Order: sequence, then C-alpha cells, then structure tokens
Amino acid sequence: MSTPEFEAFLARLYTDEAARARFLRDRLGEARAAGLTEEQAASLAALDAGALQAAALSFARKRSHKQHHAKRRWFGFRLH
Amino acid sequence: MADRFGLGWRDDLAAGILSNLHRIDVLEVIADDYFHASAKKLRALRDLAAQHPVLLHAVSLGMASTIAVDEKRLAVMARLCDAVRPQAWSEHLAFVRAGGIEIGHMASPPRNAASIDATLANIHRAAHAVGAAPAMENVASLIDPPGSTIAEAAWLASIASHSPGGLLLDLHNVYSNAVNFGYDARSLLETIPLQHVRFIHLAGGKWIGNRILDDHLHDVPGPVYELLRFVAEHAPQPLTVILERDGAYPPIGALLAQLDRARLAVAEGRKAAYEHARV
Repeated sequence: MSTPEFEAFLARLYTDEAARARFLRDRLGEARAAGLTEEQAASLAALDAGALQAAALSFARKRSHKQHHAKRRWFGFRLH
Repeated sequence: MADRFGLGWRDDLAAGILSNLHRIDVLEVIADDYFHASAKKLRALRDLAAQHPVLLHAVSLGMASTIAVDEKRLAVMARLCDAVRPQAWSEHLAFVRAGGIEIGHMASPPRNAASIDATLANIHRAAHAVGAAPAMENVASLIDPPGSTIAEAAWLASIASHSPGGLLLDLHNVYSNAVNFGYDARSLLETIPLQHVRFIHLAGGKWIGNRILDDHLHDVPGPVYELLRFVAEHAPQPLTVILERDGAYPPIGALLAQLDRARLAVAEGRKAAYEHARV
C-alpha cells in the first residue's frame, strides 16, 4: 500500500491547507485524481478529519519554530 | 555495562549540564544541529565527546519511507560521526518529506509490509554509509497513518527484529499513541522484542482535547515511569535512558530530579526481575 506517490499525497495533506480543504470536500475524488490506487483511496476516505487537522497544525507549528530558530542562528552567526 | 541515564543536549541547558556532568552518564546531541556547523562549533562537540559519552540523534533523514534515504544527507551524517566519534547514533521511524514537500517534522509512516521492507532497506543504506547502524526510534502521532494494514506493535516488532542497530524506545511516544489510538501501552511493550531495545527516551507532552501532543515541553508523566519500570523488568540488557526536553526549560535541578526518578524506576524493574528469577 505504501508508495512514493502515496507518501507525497500525505505530505501535501499535512502541509497544504488548500489541498487539505479540497480533500475533505471530496476524499475519493482527490485521491483518484492524484493517481492513487482504489485501496489507497479507500484508506484515505476513512481518515479522521479532526486528527488530520490536529496533525497538520502540529506540523505547521514545528515548521514555524524551525524557521524562527534558523533565523536566530543566522543572525547570531552574522553578529558574532 | 550498567544502565545509564542522560540528558538531551540543548544549548539553553549547556551551563546546567556542564556543571552537573557527574550526575549525567551520557549526553544525546541532535545531529542535525551540527550538519552545517562552523569548525569552532564542531570542535567544541568533538572535545565534549572526548570527555563524556555522547550519542548523536538525527531527525531529518526520513528513514521510514518508500523513498530511498538521500545519499547526500547520509554522507553528511557519516562525516559528522567521523568527526565526533559518538558511541552510537539514532534516527526515527518516520518520513519527513515526499514529492518535494518538506513536512517539517516526523510523520508516522503507513504501517504495512511495503513500509517495513523499505524502512529496513533504508536502515541498511544508512549503516553502510555511516559505518554503524542507527538505533531506530518509534514516533508519536496525532493521526493514525492512512494506508496502515499492520498494528503499530507488530510493525515495530518487525522493524526491531531485523534492524541491526536495535531500537530506541521512546516511552512517551508509546504512551501518547496508546492514548491517542485507544490501546494499552503495556500490550505494545509485550509485543515488541524488548531484547532489541538499546536506548530509551523519556519526555512529556500536553493534552489537546482527548489526544496527547508529544511536545517535549513538559515533565515526564507518571505512566511513562511505570512503562520504564516494566521495560527494565523485562529487558535484561543494559539500557541507556535519555530525558528529552525541547523548551519551557525548568531549572536543571528539576531535570536531574526526573533522571533520578528514572533511575528509581529502572532499579525497581531490575529488582522485580531478580525476584522473579529467584522463584
């Protein structure tokens, strides 16, 4: 069931708010449009929407935190 | 070798750690923080590793993926290991990117036969590139990964049984996933081959609704110490237990007190195992 295409679809769901909204409106349609198998599409259709939103928010916070720290390190390097 | 108890190195904790090294058996350093470090910073880490046991912990290789782990990233990890000479290194059972998209954190992979095979292939690639196999860490998740056909315990057991570097068992991740997905944490520990556990992570998180977020910003909760006691009772090999804290830092004394509590939990587990053996 795992393929690079399936992982890419998950990565987009976890990071792209617009893609996530489209998916939650039409789960099977979006999965099929991405070329996923029926088995993969069925597994996505059963996804817990609340858990998906919570995970996406958590990932977004992690990315923001990393960007903040990268900036801090970069400025620190420039100043010292 | 005896059981060891250590802390995750964080720059914000450096002064407290360095002034209490006699109470900290081992330090775990985030490898990624040094992938592009200045010569001065790298030298400081090398000097530290020469004086005190150091482990390197990578977070961004993306080993639990059907996509082959990037050889350039492995080469950077290999150079870092060559420079620092850590006692061991570790990574996560997670995917972090796919299709050109960086997730920015560790995502739990779909648990199925294909992901087991692909993950083991990546572990072997990493072992070959770095010259030592990584210990692999179970991850926490807020979402039950789609595409899963195998329970988490069985998936972890398969990886642990075939991974040459053994398992880094994060007990807060076990606890969080048990809460988030409604299973018994101990039943997971009874399923995975505990003899393959080399390292243990302890951490704390917070409740968001009816789920636990493994944010490493809080103290280790009581149930995690109970799981540690259980592992110490059923895994006879020496264990290295690392406390992770990524922010909202308390005074160093509070972290050392949590390490002491971990020591007590392991001692209780070892004592229980000894008493079972005598009967």
